[in-house]
Amino acid sequence: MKSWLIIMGGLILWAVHFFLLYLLAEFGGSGTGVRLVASLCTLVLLGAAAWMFLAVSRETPGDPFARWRRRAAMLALAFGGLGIAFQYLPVLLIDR
Amino acid sequence: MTERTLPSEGWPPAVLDPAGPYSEPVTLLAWVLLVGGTVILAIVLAALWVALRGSPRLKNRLGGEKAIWILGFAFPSVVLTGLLVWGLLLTSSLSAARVPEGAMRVKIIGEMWWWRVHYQDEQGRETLRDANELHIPVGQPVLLELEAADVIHSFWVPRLGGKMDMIPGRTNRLLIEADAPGVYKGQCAEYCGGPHALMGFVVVAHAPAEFARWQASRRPADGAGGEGLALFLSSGCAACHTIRGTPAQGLAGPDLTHVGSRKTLGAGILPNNPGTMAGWVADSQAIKPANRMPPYHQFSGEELQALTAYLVALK
Amino acid sequence: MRSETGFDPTLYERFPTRDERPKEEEEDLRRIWCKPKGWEYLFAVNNNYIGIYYLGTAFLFFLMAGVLGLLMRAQLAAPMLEILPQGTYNQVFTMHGTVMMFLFAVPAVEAAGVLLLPQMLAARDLPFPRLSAYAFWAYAVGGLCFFASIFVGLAPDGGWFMYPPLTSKAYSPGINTDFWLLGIGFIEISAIAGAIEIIVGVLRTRAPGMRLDKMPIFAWAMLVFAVMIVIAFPSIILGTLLLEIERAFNWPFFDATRGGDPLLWQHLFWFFGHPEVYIIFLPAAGMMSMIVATVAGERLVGYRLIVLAMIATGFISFGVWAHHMFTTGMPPMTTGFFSAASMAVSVPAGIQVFSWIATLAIGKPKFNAPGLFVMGSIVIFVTGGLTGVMVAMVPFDWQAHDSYFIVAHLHYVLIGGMVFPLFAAFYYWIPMVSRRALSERLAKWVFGLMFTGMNVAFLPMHLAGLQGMPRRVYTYLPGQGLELPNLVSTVGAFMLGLGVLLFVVDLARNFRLAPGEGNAGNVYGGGTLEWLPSELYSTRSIPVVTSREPLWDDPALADEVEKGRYFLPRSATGLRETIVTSPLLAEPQYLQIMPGPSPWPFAAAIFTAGFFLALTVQAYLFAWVSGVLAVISVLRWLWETDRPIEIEGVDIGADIRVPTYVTGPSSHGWWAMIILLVVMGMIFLMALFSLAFLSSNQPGFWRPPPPLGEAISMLMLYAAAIGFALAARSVLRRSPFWSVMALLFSAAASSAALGLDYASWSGSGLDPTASGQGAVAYALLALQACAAAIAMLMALYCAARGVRGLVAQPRNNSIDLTMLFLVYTAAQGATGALVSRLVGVGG
Repeated sequence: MKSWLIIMGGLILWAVHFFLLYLLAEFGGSGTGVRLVASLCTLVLLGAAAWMFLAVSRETPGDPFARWRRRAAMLALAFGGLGIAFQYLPVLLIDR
Repeated sequence: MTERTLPSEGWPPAVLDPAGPYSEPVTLLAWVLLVGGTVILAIVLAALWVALRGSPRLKNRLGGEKAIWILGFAFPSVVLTGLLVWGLLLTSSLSAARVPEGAMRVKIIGEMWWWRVHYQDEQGRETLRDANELHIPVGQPVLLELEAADVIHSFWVPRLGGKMDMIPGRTNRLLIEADAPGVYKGQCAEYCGGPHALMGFVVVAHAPAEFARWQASRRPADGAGGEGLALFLSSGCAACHTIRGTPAQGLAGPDLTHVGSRKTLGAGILPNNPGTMAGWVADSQAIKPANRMPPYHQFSGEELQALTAYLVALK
Repeated sequence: MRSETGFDPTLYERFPTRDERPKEEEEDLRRIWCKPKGWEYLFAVNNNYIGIYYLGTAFLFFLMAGVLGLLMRAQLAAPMLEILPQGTYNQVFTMHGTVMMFLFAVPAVEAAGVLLLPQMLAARDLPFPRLSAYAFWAYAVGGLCFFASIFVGLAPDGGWFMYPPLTSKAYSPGINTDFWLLGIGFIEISAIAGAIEIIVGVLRTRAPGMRLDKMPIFAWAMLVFAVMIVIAFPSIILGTLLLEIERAFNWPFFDATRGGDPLLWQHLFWFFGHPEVYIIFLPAAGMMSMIVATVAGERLVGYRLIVLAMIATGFISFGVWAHHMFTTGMPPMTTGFFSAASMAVSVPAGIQVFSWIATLAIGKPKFNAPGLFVMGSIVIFVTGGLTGVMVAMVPFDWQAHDSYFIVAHLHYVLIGGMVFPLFAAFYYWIPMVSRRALSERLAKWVFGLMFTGMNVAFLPMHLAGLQGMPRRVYTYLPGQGLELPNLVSTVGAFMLGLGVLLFVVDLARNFRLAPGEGNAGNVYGGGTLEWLPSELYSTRSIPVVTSREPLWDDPALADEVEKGRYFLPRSATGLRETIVTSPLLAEPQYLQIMPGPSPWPFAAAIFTAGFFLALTVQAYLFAWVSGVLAVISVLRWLWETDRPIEIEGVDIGADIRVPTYVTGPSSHGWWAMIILLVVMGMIFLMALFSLAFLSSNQPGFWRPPPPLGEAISMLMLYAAAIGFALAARSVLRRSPFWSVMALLFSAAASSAALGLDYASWSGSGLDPTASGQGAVAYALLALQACAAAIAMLMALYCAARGVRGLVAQPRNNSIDLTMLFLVYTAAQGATGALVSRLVGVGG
């Protein structure tokens, strides 16, 4: 389980972010309050991705599989972080 | 089969031939996407060609993770971010969430398989009922309130703007505007069963002065109609159709008060003239199968002529 | 290297062993995994047979739905033709889409998994062979009956996404729509069954040493595919259930006049429907990655990137569903989220495409049949991907949506992303299952016709869409410039059809089913394990895997495997068996005894089909009899499967000993149950979403739910149910009797709590036909009733086994799995009781 969480960490964060934003908009509308909460979620999740990235990159893998897992995790976190930022653009650019 | 041709269209394609401020920016976007997409396809094809037939030096460049990163990740990411920003800004500016000052208001209700058109004043009060045809003044934005009476339909006049679904239980809003006088064709875009394929629509844009004249001419029928009107009232037509100014007050079908002045019959599918009118009345099922109007084979030739003459005179 | 399970990896160094294996071992294997005879072909469960049946049936549906497509193109060749009348055309296009998506695409890739995975992972079979057989027969019988509805004019006519209210009773009073819901019901069952099979198979039955990073890319693809099915299909399962309940019992889930919402269906449908596209695409992409490497004669470039790209696709594809709803009047900011995700999802696809190109670049690509289809696929898929980015842009989609532009786009994506890879796969893998390979010479014609035909057919549709031609029209008016593009499309469609016909001719000439009789072999020179010499029992021995292309890296491997010098060179117990390994590093854990052929899965499938068909034609008595017989058949098939054998530990080669029976979280049954519970949990979650969605979109129809206080007694009963279930597992060591009793108490407590919940809702005066709120509230109760009924059935099953003395062991899988299900049932019931009383409480 832990290995899976490490490998997919970045993508899980992306998914959490996406569904938070969607549910906020679906049930909360697009007012300023919702936008603030959405921005806060984005910051927290980006922070989490960065923190996980640092944590994983400091790991010293003992065997080939752990090495593979570490590289994969770092890639996924990079993808996920970029994805979270990308996903936030509508909050900034659409005013309704 | 009756002649059905409307003024020849098709080139340039409607989406690429915008006629108003709510379609024009999308056309620019469409051109950028079509040309850009073609260029990117060419790049991929070139890369594939190099991989298959290229010189060893080029093949080497392409055959590594670096190439995947640049061509498969970095390049698309940059292009997509640019496109997304453009798309979002455009969504924001074209959406009917913001209604411009002085927009004319019309409620359009989708039915299986035609359209009710209710013109409104600025306060949203109904001023005029019509069907299957919308008249608008050039240069003025029009806010459409779109509803559905039965199943989901979708309102689409490609030269004036994008489409918007008509969903039971909701009122969706769409902005359109025409830059030049003309007739703009539209069609239901959401599959609504049966003759969905034959659920057309026409928008007629007039110069402002012309539009005012058109508005002034929307008066109820004068009640005179002789044999035609008598047939209309006695044959059951009035059970479904309204002709204001007469006892015909049916609500199930299109309002026929101005049917003679419409550009089309059968919801945008036939040109309107005495021949097509007679054909439609006698057997609309042969023209638009499964529509809700029964055939009227019982009329004699003279009766049909009288009825048709009355209807085409309803301007 | 560290170990995952305590297994010492240095033991791998004992292989290949040097000793000569006795001849009888091979004969034993042949006898145990023998060919069926006569009627027994219906009862076969081995993946070699089920895989071929499955793929063959899926291909048959492809051909039939293809003919429907050609009929449509004939009708649209010129304006106002009357080849197909309106009503027929509406049925034909609905069936074309439905059959292609549900009865061809998903089953075809699933079938490829069933057929290829055991070979690729060097397992003897998939872990639940009888489940595969059941899934196949339910699909084949149900699918064929469903298809037959078109011959009697009863086929559904609401389009493949069946939007209500067009498909509700008021506007579709016939049983046509019910046939659709029925047909989809079968594919839901077989997809979920297949997904469980594939997840457990990929994670637990890999050859020893095949770590995750050594796994063939196709296995990765199938893993992501199966997980996506588990997450996505529950949404359509719930959607079809709700629509059928609305039609049959008048509960207004989607009726806006009574507090339902047609958009709820669209959310439920597309939350499944868009991931579905990637569910189809990913396995095909996995095949592409395998074939590209062989065609290029080089290792895949960017293996890790591709794996990540596939996982990323799996995630992001769940954030794109509402791009099918950009024109429904959704608030602009919300459309923005879906637009962004829809664009992001193209990045992983780009990574895969350029990995394939890079692999071709480093190798010396051959222009053989699989090679041609791979290259054609890249071109077509990229074109479809680019138009996909276009329609992901909201303003452009306002124009393109529901027009022929979309028809063009989706055919480029699906034909390029799935059909061409599948044809490449046919050419590539047929030598594995047939005594003869297909004709390379004919393949050039097949490819030429299909590639040209495809482009001639679908390229002009982009234009027709931009000219304003909506999709799903049975005809169009002259004088709009649509004549030429449509005529060209029709010509192209028939070229495409001709190409497929030629392929069928080739199949008829050259395809000779091989199992057990020697296949054509590794004609293209692939490097993965499915190309080891194999018979019905797969490979003679199961190799230790140290690389991704073992056959390229160790030329002696095939010979050593054939001589039985690796794991499990014999049947250790005299029964069908395979090695279960650990999920990450694939260390041997235990020997799974596999069930053999049986008539019961077949019978269960027939009765399941009978049940649904009879419901559709409203023969209720027959339906219930069939339903009961189906349940009995399932229980009968299970009865023989959970049996510890006398021999507790066996030598699986080189003196490495593993147990033959394992219980608890490391058993394959436990894994399968957890996956099933995830499916049930997702169905339930989507039902809760439906409740919240209606309360937020139809507040006018909402009334206060029963007070929260009434839930307290239910919660206490559910807590007791969980307690009893957990107790059942811990007292088993001491008393099988009390263990079984605890299970029964648990099931009874859950049922009692459900009874209270029902009484509380009906006491509140809310009727399920009164409003959307009532409908969903009672639907939640109905879901809970299903879970409680299954829980009770499982407890009674354990009791019956107890009576027969089959619960005598200190540890028992049947008890374990029933315990899991009971705990889940109680947890779901408690959550439902709470949430349904909280949603919309403030009005």
